[in-house]
Order: sequence, then structure tokens, then C-alpha cells
Amino acid sequence: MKKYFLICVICFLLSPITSWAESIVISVESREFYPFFFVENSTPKGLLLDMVRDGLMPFDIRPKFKPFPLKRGLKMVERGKVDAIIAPRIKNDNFILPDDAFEKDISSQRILQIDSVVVTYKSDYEFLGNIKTLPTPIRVTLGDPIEAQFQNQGLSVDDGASGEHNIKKLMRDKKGCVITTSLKAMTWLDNPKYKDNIDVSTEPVVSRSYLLIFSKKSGIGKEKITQVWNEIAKNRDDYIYPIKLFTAY
Amino acid sequence: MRNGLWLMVLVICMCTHLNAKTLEEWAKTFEPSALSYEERVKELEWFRDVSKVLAKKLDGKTIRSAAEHIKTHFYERDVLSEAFFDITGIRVKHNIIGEGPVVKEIMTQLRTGRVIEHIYVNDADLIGTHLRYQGVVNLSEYMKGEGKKYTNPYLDLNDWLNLEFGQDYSGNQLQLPDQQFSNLYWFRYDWFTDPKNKADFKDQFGYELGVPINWAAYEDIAKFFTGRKQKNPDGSTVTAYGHLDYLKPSPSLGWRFTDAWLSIAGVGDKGLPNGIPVDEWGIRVENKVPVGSMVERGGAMNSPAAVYALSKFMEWLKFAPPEAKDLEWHTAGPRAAKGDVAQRIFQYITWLSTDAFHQKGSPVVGQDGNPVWRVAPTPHGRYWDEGMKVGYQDAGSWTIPKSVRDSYRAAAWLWAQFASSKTVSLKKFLVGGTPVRKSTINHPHIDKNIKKWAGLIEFYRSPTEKKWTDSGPNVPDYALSVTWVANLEKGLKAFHNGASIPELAQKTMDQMARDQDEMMATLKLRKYSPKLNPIKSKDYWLKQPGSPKPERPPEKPETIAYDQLIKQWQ
Repeated sequence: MKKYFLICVICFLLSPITSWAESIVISVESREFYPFFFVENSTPKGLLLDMVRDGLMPFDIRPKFKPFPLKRGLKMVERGKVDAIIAPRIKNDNFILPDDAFEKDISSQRILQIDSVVVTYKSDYEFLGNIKTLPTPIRVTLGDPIEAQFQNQGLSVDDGASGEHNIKKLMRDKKGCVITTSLKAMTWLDNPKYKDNIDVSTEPVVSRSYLLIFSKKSGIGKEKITQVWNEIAKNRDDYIYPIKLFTAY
Repeated sequence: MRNGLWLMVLVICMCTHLNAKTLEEWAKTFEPSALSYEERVKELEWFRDVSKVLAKKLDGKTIRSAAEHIKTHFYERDVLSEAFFDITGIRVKHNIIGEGPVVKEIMTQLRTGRVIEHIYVNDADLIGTHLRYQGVVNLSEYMKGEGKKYTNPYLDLNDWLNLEFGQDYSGNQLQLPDQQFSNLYWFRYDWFTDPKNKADFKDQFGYELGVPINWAAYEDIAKFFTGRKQKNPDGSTVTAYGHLDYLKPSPSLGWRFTDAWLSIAGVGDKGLPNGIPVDEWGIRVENKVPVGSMVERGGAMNSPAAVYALSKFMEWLKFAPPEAKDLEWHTAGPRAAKGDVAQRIFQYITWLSTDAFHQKGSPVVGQDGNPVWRVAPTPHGRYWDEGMKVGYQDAGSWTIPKSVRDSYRAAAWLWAQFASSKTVSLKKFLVGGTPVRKSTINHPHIDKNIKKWAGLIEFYRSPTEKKWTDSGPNVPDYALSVTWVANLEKGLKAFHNGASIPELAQKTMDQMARDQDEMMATLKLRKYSPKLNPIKSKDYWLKQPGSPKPERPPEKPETIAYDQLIKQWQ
């Protein structure tokens, strides 16, 4: 009896580590957006997820990331089925966003600012801000909300399963362009398979603040949410933190 | 209504045009110059002609550049960017931000590829970072290839001072110096040559009062002047301080040490521009790969010399004005001009161009309008050996991230060349006091006014200037300096609470070296990524030749008369 009592006491003492931490569910896009978010062996991963995890840590909040297509993820936040989502700014009365999310193009409480650039087959073309000049088809990754921006202009869009699919198609067809993150474009410029045959625009086609957007139906109060955003921003602007963060990818 | 709108546009265009200067007018503005008026016109015409197509392509766009807040860069922002636009039609926004934010922005850009600025004036201290990240444009290759068309035929790289600061191990130019700033010994020439001071000093210490050659003499002089009544040319009498420093917790506290303080104490190995295999940060490299900072790994960051460097920094605070604890590098910069400081071992020349050091009526300016202060070589510590670098100087250097391509890259490159061209460089130096070209410091206009710079010109003209260098290529990521700041802050807090200095200095440097090695171990860089040596006993490494060096006894104080020293420079 004494032995069982002792085991119970030990379990009780250890329990805060495992079960007392608050747990929240965060939706992330299921598309490939390497290295910011992507799914590997059914597990969502990426820089943005790491930063959110580290930002929540001091508050003893443990995130559980669930990948969904963006539209579905947003619906789930709206209905309070998940606590939060990692996404660019979006207007919805049921969402809690940083105060400056719509005032500035670069929110001070963003997770990261992510630029998408234009990759073209080597030519004299240079993207200088007018999307109507983009060589078509414009290849985007499936589910990227940027697609609507091109379609609204009547431009031909081709969505591939991943950036790799898109760059291979560009190499094969030698026409059109690929929209991808500046970080991904850098890896292609280092890749001997592509580097001599591609150009990457200096000017981004779009620059978005990725935010941790909370559901109003989540149990977390605005004050705590603000603290979490501030913690993420503090890490992001630190000198040391990014070294460790980016080294992993 | 429509007509009204057109009229407004017309008025705006006219105003813009009215404000614009012609190329010839700008050529006249840049007087004095290393070039004649005709040569300036020729150079400016080249900028105008080469930019025609580019300016049209970039119509409505702005080239963004960033630089730290010193006079030189304000001049670039307020005058040179305007001239560049008038001549080339390319608009530049030269953002003046702190040195810390410059480093943060460029590092973010290198890591993410996101274009924050198109070009940076980034200290060449980051050369080790750039050659390992491989994230910036190799200017040597660019000038020969894609950028040949945009490379100024009058550029004359041989005219540059210390071009090597921006070069990788193979001599490729990754950064092009835009402004140079050295860190020299500063002292009150009038007080040092005063017969009463000289006699009293000799009585007390047994040798001549003069420019200290080593730290032992610096310390004696600091002792001598602290608390002593001294007179200024403006008639004021002050109680002098024998030393000046700064220690406010801030990134600049890190620079106080990373800017070669350990090396000045004698921490590193012989070799110019930087000690090999152990450099001024106490980092050992083997085949260009950093292998450790701890003595136990062959580094020297916690070696007896490094402990001595920190100990002296702490000990000498008793000779400095009490406000030193609230000063940062930029507030300490012009502090000596108040007229109560006898000498300063670590003076960035950047601040010596401020009015406080030159205007008539200042306590440090004589009746003849010339400074009563001088600059001289940095005294070295007891671990310093002949063949080592003597002091610190660096160059804010034009650096283009690889993420900036095509037209933007060409326009950024043109802006960099324009802002450091022969046409404008002398004028820029007269404003900011940070030279970049030999033709600037050797110009007859400088000869005529040489007294104004109080030894600085003689320094730059002397071959010995090559012994003042920046952080070298051993430093794999400049962000490592953050570990210095954190540990120094902690150490200084303990110092203020009365901790005993040698033990505290050893503990601080041990922790700093450990932290730096831990961070280096996590770095995965594209080239020459750190690979730490296994731990061996301190004794093993201290018995090896060179750095890390074993404990040395105190040195004999040595001084030299300034006038004799200046003759050596000439």
C-alpha cells in the first residue's frame, strides 16, 4: 500500500510537466510552402511553426498543429473548432489579429514577413512590379491564395502540387514563370540543375506578414494573446535566435 | 477640375526641375576635389550616360540603401543622393539607421532572401560572415562580368585605402569600403607638453611624460592626471580625469571588446591584417575553419592575455569620469571635448570631426583655432608582440546582397561608386572625417590644413597605418558578438557589486569563450563552417608556440615624445 502511495506521489509531482501545460490547436496550411510550413511524413513542420511554438513556451502553452487547406482552416477558426491559424491578414469579425495588421503592410507583431518572388526562364524579362507583364502560365503551388490575384487580372494560372513540380515544368516548357518564396528561389539559384537557366526577380510579387490569428471563441484572452505575439516578435528581432532557427532548414 | 489637376502636376514638375542642379553645377559643388573641374565633368558624364536606359527602366522606383548614423552618411543622404538623382535620374533613399539595425537588416536579408534594402554600408568586420554565408555579390566577378558595363572607368581601385578589409581569403572583393574609421590613442598635447606636468611626472614615475607605448605607461599617466587641476585654452580650470571609457549595457559595449581590444592587449597571433591562426576575437582557425575560442580548444578568448584585457578595462574605470557607466560609443565619442580628459586609449576618429573638437571657444581648441589635442598610435598590452596588428580600424563598406539582381543591382552599384568616386570623396571627407581614398589624404588642400586633423593625416599617410585592422575572416558569424555583450553586462554588474577583478575577469572570459564555442558549434555555413577541436588541457595549448600565450610578468612602462613620433610617421 505504501509503495502505491509513493508511486502516486511521484506521479503527482511529475504531472505538471506533462499534463498541466495548456494545450491549443493551431491550423496551418496543408500546402507546401517550404521552409515556412510543409507536411513531412504526415507531420506539419516549418519555420513559422517553430517560431509559434517558441513564442508560446514561456506561457506554458503547447500547440498542436493541424494541417488544412487555407479556406477550411479559416472556417474552423471562425467556428472555434481550432484556437488559431497561421495565415496572412484576413478580415473576419470572429478573428483576433494584431492591431496594426491592416494599418501597415509589415505588422510589428507578425511571425515573419514573407516575400514571394517571380522565377522566370533566363531571358531579358525583369519583373518590376506590374503583374500584367508576368510571363504566363503563372505557376503557383496548389492552394496558394495569391492565385486569385492573378485570376482577377485574367492571367493564366497553373497550380502544381509543389514548388519542385513548378520549377521542373518551367525548365521543361522554357516559358511562363513560377511564384515562390525568396528563400526557395535562393535554393534553386544554388542548384546546378537550375541556376544557369533561371532569373529571380528582385521585386517581390507580394509581401505578406504571416500572423498568428486567434479565434474569438478560443479561451485565450486578448492580453495573453498580445503577450504571445510580443514574445514571437522579441525572438524574431533577437540576434541569436534566428541563427539557431534558420540553421535547422 | 481636370485642368486644375494638370496645372498642379505641371507646377510640381516645374518645382522639381527648378530645384535640380545641372551636371556642371554639381561638378562645381564638389570643390575641392582630387579631380579638376574638367575631370569631374567627365566622370559625372559617364554616370549620366550609363544610367540612361536603367533610369528609364526603373522610372518611379527607388533604390534603398542603409547606413549607420554618422556625419559621412548624412552627407551622402542629404547631398550625394540628390546629386545622383539629378545626374542619373535614379532615385535613392539612403536610410540612416543605427549600426545594430544595419547588421540586423542585412542578416535577415541574407537568411531569408527577402529584399529589405538594395545595398548596405556594412562594416567590413562582417567579412568572415559574408565569405561563409555566400550571400553577397562578389564585386570582383561582377565588375568583370555582368556589371562591367556599369563599372566606372575612373573608379581606380588602387586609390583605395585598405581595400583588403572587404576581401575574402582569395582576394575577392565582397565589400567596397565607403568610409574608414580608425581607433586611435587621443591625448591633450598641451597638458603633456606643459613643463610643470612634465617635471612632476618625471619626479613621480622616473621617466618622461609622453605618448604611452604600452599599457603600463598608459596606466601611470592615468594615475598622474586623475584629480589634477589643469587649465584649458578657454580659460577654464578643471579637475582632470586620466582616462575615458564607456560601459553602458548596449550592443556598443560588445564593440568595445570585439573591435580588437583583446588583440591590443596581445591576445592573438602575429600576422597582418589579422593574426593567424588565432585572431583578435581569440578564435583559432585551421585551414580557414574556426575550431575554437576556449584555450582548451586552442583558442585564446579565456587565455591569460584576455583576462588581462578585461581586468585592465575594469581597473581603469577608477580614472574615468563617473558618467562612463552611462555612456555608449556614440555618447562617449565626443565626450573628451569637454576639456577634462587627459587621454583616451580607445577613441574612434569618427567623432573627431564633430564641432565640439574644432570650434573656436571649445576647451580643446587653442587661441589660434587649432586643436590642442592629438591622436597617436594605440598603446599595446604586455602580451603584444612585434608582427601583430597594433589597433583597430574598419571600413563601412558597400555590400550588395545576392537577392538584389539585374537593374536594381546595377543601380545600387552605380550609387556606391558615385558616393565614393574621386569627384566627391575629398568633399565628403571634409564633412565626415572618414577617408576612403589615398588621393583624399594626399591632396594639397589637406596639406594646407593639416593641423586641423591633429595627427590623423600623418597616421593615414604612414605605412604603419596597415597595422590597424578590422575583425578578420576568422569570425564566422558577427552575431557571435551578442555573447560578448551578455557576458560583459553580467561581469560588469558583478564588478559594480564589488567582485574581485582578476577572478571575475577569468570567470567572465571563461563563460564568454564557452558560449561562443557553443554557438559556433550550431552554425551550418556554406563555406568553412566551424568544426570545434576536441577539449584538451589548458596546459597543452599554453605550451604551444604563439597564441594562446602563458602568463607574462608586468612590462616596463615606455613613452615617446609626440613630436619624435610624428617624425617617424612622416
